[in-house]
Amino acid sequence: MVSSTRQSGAPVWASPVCLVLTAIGIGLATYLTIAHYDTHIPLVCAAKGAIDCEAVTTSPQSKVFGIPVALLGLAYFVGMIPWHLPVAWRSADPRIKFGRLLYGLSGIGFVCYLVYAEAVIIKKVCLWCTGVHITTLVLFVVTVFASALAIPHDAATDEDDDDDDLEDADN
Amino acid sequence: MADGRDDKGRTSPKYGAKKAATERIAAQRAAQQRTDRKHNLLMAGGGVLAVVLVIGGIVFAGLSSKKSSTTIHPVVAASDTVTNAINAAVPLTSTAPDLSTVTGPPKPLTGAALTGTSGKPEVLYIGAEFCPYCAVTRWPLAIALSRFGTLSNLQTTYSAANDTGPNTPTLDFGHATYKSDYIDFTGIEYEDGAKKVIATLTPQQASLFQSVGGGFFPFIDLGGKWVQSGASYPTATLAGLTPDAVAAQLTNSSSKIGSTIQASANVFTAAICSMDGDKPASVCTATGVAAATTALVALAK
Repeated sequence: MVSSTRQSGAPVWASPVCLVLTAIGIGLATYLTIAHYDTHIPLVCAAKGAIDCEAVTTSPQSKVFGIPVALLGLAYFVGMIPWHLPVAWRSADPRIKFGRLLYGLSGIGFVCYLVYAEAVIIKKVCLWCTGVHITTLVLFVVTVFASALAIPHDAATDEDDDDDDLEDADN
Repeated sequence: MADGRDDKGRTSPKYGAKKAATERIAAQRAAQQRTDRKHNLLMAGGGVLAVVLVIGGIVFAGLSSKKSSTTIHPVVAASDTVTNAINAAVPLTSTAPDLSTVTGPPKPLTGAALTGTSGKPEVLYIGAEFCPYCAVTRWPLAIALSRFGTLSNLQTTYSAANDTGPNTPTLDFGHATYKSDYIDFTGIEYEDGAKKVIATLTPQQASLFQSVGGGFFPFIDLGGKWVQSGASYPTATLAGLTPDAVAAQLTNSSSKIGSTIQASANVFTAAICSMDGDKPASVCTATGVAAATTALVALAK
């Protein structure tokens, strides 16, 4: 009998793709965080149209419980890294799989609130913020589908075990 | 032998049966995995679709909801308090105020000089009555312009109530006239308090507004040598005040409002000096303006 290690069966592309998306999210959130605190960013009014990053990033909705939304977004993406490491994707532990999905879903919930704030309350759109929202959504979609394709299995093949059994039976 | 054959190459019946069973089990497992994956993918697709529908519904709700009614502030003739205060602030060039309060100074430009209808270097202002960033910038610009000529027919109003820095008290250049021996000034309020277009730009003005200013208010082209894009200082500085209350602080160098506006006025004055050959000398060599010139030159490097 050969001892086996349970594997998640996740696609090999899952970890690198998700880490790349996470890095993109960190980049965008970092820029927005710097812009939030940098008073030397030009304060301008858009000539008509709905695109006005300053209006969004300086609105009352740009803070949640006194914490800048940009900073929360940065913390979210940094916290995403451990969930998408190769060792985490290889693990068959269901707590890691469902924890990763729930963490991603929490980000989607926050995106829904921010989209609501832009579309319904502020009625202005910040393109940089929209980039973060899209990155969060794409990351969630990739995570969901990669998790769906992951069928747990044992690392050692059962056929090897069966061949040994068959040889013993003949002897 | 390991492959189930004897030394004469024959396979035992027992081995053959077990191998067939093993292959059958492996095929069943593979089929089950394919079924599980298919089931999981359908669930995943349904979940993602639900998320996309929720977000799309929120965007649709935002696009279809009526905009909240906006209070459009009236534009009225500037009071004597305002015009007298601006004139009183004109000579305040001898001291160098704290230039760090000017969070949005002009940026240097390269290219052709900008001249007005009389052939003199031109200050072109394009703003909007709703715009809070225009609101704070008009005060120091008016003081600076008054150092080189006479600014008349000023009006006052407030920026939009439903925007950042709501109800910021301000001047209005829409009907202003200007006379100077040194420069030309064109002040255009392109949109009113409800973002309705109320002025027409010439092709050159429209081109500069888009190519140099990016289409953002306020846009101030200072002789083709400097461009002011955006607020010169934060809107919070004038929060909750009236035009007369702001005017009362213009000559008070000890107040945050007075020192901030005077600093910004000196920066605009320095920019105008650099575009008109430092005339008049009494203005361009004053201590406060010289300090602002040094700061602008450092910015240009």
